[in-house]
Amino acid sequence: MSVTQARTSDQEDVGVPDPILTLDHVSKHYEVRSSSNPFVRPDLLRAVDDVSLAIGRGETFGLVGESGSGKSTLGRVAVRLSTPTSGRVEFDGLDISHLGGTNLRRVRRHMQVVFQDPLGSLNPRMDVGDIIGEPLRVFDKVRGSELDDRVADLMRAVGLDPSRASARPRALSGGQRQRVGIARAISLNPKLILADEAVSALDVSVQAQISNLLVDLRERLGLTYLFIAHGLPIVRQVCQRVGVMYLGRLMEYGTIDDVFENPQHPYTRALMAASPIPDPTVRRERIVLHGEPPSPLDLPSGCRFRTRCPMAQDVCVDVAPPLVQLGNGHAAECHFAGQLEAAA
Amino acid sequence: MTTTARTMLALTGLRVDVDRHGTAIPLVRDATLQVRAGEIVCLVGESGSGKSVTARTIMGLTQLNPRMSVGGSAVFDGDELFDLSAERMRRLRGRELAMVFQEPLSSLDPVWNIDSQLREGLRRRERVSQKAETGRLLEALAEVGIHDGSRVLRSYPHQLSGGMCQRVMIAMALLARPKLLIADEPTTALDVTIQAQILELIDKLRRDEDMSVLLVTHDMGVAADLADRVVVMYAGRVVEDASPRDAFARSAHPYTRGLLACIPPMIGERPEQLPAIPGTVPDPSNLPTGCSYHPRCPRASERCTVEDPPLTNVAGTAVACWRPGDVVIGEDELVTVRGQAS
Repeated sequence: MSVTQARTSDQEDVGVPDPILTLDHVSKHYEVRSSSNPFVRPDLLRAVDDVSLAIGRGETFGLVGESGSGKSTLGRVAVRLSTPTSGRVEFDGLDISHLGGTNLRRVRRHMQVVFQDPLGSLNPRMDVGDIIGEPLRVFDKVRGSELDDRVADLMRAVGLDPSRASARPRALSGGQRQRVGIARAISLNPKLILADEAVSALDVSVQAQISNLLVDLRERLGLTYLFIAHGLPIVRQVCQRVGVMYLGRLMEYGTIDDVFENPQHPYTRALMAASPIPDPTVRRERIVLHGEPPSPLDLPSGCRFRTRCPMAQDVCVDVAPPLVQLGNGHAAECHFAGQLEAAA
Repeated sequence: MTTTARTMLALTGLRVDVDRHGTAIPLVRDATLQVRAGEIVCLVGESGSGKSVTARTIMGLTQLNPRMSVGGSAVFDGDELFDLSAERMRRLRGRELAMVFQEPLSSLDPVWNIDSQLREGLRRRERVSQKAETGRLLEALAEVGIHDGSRVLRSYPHQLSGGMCQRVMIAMALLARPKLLIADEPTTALDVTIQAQILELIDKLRRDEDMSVLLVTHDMGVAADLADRVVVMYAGRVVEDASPRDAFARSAHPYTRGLLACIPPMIGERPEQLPAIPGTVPDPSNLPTGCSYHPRCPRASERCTVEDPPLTNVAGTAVACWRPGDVVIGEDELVTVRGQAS
């Protein structure tokens, strides 16, 4: 397929029949002022730079990338915790890019968030029952014994003992706290849940419990997840599709099988090669990428991965790579996408 | 690596208690392990297993807290560390014994630039001319892959990335040419591509300098990548001490097996549900009777609930379990037992 075709068709061929969330050329830029000189023109930090993406109803879409890749910013824009600088965010057929006030509040009950640090996102002065019941009190004005019953049901749904409703977050283990965060997130029967590194800080045995719970709830409640993580194995386990971000751009996306078995962006390959495999008989080339990501304030010309890319050529310095469609909703933004042989 | 290499560090029956309102809470109970010259030993376990406390105790850091009491023995290169005077210990630290912590940013002093922090460490060891010092610092930075050393020396910690700070920490540790490097989750706060670089660096220094490394990690992947020996801790005890091959392919302890099973695979079939270990790590102030893993263990028997199993050697693997896995049985059976366990 020709490059020009690929470019114009990136909106139509996202491979999602019934999208619940559509991001259309979304950018989020921040102005960074010099701390020493207030008169100098502020630098522009392109945290998210022209990203288009659609998430289907009932699917789990994983967003991976290293720190500073813009994955959390994109997640926050997607659920409108943050307003896009440009582009369009569409949720369930409604343009929510610039909604505010009551209208935004009305949509927000359908989009909930589970954060990475359960202790930091739970009010230490409230008990577990109050935390889980708060959305019900605020949005649905549920009170009294009905509230207690609903909270007990939610606690059971996430595997917590309802008798712990009077406990404070500090008295719970990390896994239990994350269950509280999940119970609060599902309390209003949302359509979409943003799980921003929701299992990343947990020990592996607890991570397995919580990711099993998320999968189980998706099935039972028909949820859709935007699942942000930096660990590739967990994304492979819980997601159906995945997008890989680097310095504010979506470098590659597709189904888990396509992206993991046949990555077509050199960055995706490097990320995979760098994740340690718990098998001492696997001998691998340890260093796959030299150096560190460049500053997002001073992006490289052409392809922004070229400074670390083992395949970089002259063309990568001069020309920003096109988004190349590879079929089945798999696409990669690289001059050589489609030319990388399948991973061994 | 030959098994006849000199033992650099031997912990025997290490015990660390913390005093909480008059009650002694055991953080480490009877930890026993050895690190030989030029060997990387990975100490693995989940949070609360006592692995970091063990590492800090070897450095003499837990002892600085009056609420902590330490028992057992730690012999470093022939010297019993717990008998050394504070002065001797201080001299040992940063020379023969060095440590790298998880949070590079909080381990560096924010108000001093890198130059002064590195120079301080160097000066404690020997006095050379200032110019020669600078040369040594640049050399040390180059060794950890920092090639614009003069810029980094002028920088303050907040001006550097996490990976950069961690390299500086390692450079600082290595300026002393330690015999033993203790690294407590050195890459946990870093991105995977930077983690790969730091792991490669530690491995290279071990090879070139014949340095011994005790690497504390929660990541079984990191252990598989680097370890010459894997030591698994649970609830303050060493439950398994094995070669990586044995630890991963035929773990003797059900906990090691459970830990490995719940890591999602990167290739092949994806299980519908991950075989998670039920329950949570026990609170050290309220440990279960008998084997502390028994409430979560699929193989637990009557005996496990009353008697704590001792660490016993079976075919090169030390394991603390009354019903250890397939150390003694054949390869075919191993497969079936593993299948049932998950």
